[in-house]
Amino acid sequence: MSGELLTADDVHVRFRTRGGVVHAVEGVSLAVKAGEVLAVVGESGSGKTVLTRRLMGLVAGGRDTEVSGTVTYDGTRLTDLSGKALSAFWGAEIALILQDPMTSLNPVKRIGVQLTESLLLHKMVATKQEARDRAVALLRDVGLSEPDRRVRQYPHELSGGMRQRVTIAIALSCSPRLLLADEPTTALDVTVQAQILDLLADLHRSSDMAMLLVTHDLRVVRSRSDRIAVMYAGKIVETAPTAALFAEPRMPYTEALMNAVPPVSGPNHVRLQVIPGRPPDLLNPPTGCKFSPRCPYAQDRCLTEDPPLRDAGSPVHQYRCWYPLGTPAWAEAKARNVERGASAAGTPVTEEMVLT
Amino acid sequence: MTATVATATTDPPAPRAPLGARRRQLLRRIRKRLLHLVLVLLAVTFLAFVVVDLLPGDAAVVVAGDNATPEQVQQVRETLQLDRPLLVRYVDWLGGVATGDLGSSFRTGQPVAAALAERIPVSFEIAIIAQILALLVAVPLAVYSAYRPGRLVDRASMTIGFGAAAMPQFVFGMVLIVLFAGGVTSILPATGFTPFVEDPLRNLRSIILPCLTLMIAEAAVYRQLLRSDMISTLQEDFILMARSKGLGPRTILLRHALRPSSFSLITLSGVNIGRLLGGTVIVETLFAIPGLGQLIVQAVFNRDYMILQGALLFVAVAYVVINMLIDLLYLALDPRVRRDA
Repeated sequence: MSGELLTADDVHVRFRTRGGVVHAVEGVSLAVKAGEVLAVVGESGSGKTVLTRRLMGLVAGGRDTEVSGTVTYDGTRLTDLSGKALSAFWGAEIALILQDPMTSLNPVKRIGVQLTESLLLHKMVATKQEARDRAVALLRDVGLSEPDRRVRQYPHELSGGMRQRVTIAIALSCSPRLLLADEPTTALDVTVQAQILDLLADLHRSSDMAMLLVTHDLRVVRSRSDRIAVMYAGKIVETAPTAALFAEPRMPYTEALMNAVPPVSGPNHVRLQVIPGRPPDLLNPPTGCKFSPRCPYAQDRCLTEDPPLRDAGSPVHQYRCWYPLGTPAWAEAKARNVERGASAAGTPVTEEMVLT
Repeated sequence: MTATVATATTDPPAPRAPLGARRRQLLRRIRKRLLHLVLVLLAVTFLAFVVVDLLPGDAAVVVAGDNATPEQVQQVRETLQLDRPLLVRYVDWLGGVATGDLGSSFRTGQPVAAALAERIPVSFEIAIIAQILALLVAVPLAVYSAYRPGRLVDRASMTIGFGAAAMPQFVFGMVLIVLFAGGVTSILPATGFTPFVEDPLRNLRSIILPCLTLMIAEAAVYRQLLRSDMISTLQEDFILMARSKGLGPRTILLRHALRPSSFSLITLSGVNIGRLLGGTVIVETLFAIPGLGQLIVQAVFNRDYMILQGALLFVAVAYVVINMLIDLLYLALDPRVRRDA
């Protein structure tokens, strides 16, 4: 297929721990087209962060880590490259923004040095003076006041929002074609979150950079992504263009994620619909559909058979579910569970929980 | 205060210390340390005075000799003014120190200042060189071990290091003597010391074995300490960030991870230099090095408390000053150290 900048095919990551093998990423395939924003959404522990790092090659096979599957970037198979060859892509072609700006900058190095080292490494500038000027310009581009002074400051002299602007400036310094943003706003105040997301959207608009935006918050990506992939227990459980996903979610987990967000408009003091239970233990994942223990529509089949990824009308919208929302099978499953007051997995189900 | 106004959409910047605040803080730290020093010195010297006084036998007996009559001893005691009460002698000594007079040895009559001037450079040279050697060996091994923990270099350096460190110092010293000074080979002198100003080359040859003996245990401990601090630094997000920029392992280890990992190593190294400056009795005895340690031990045996007091005074001053320097080094190494202001 043309226009695809990054493709992942059947990516697995397993960690051997003392407690057993953790299957963090289980057969993820996805593609990011040049210039688009793909959002990866899921709760903590769904494998989004490990997936992001595996896509980049920061997580590699080792004594306690098993990896398989392929990642291809612009015709180059990243998964075949050595660490040294990979690092030529890092920073220059693919850049990363981490979740917590309080810990992602080196505390004993000046902001300016942390910016210029990328520029100098990837030969974006010829001289140190030029690098310094570029650093100041980059800091100005990400909306930092007094960039001349900032380059001489240390991270601890800046607030969280300012630091995240700095890490964005570092990530964008070499004009990468793909930006992996791993929960870039989770550690920030709500007001600052919006600023940072708007900044990322602006920067994305003004370049032809593609972005993989990882988040646990569907609200964050509704207006800021072209496509969404929902992850659960190391697998992609639904993927669709953003509008289609919000209009017609098929997977009950997607619906649950949407309902778990307090609505901005509408009546106050409405009971928030939380997802019952907790994310599955990846050491002992449930059999069948991994979401079945928490799903209000779960039937016997869901507990034993893992649903494959199926097309919902078109190949751009895919989901994993035996009883997809909005279908007659789903209505029947819902009615049965409401009637017996519990799902096939024994999770209590009430009329109120399945109002949708 | 300088007024800093945020002009962009971002939140206000952290207040920046006005110019000179850092210097004021520096002075405050030094002042605090100096006050500390005075208290430490009073405590150490007074304690030494009391202890020497409590030891059986006194300086007068030692000075007068084995065959002296009680009258002769009494006479010596009076000449040396040892018959005065302890507190009076201490205050008298303190007064001398304040005016720059450390007194003279009871036994030899040599001024204490002159005795110290002979010994201090010897101990100083050995302490510093042993320290540098320990760091030169430990730092690269620790950095590499942290980079590849559990691999060959890590395991081998840990086993050899702890093996050598567990061996008593004099045993290790004797092994070195056998290997290099008369046993297997005779390329280095086993004993003796040549001052640097007399013959730099012979001086270096004469301190190689003592310094090796001193450094081995320290190198093992330093390696272990820095290795574990490095390993935890390498787990930090900013290291992942540095990797994601495409920086190579060398740059990440040396430019990004080493400095934030080095604080406990520097503290320990400072403590050790301070300790070594006070002399190292075993090594000095083994290699016949005329250092401070020997001076102090002899002074105790001879009840020569003028020498002892002078030496202890120096050791305490050196200890506090070294630690003060380490403290200031933190200010340079870690921009976040602004606490206890």
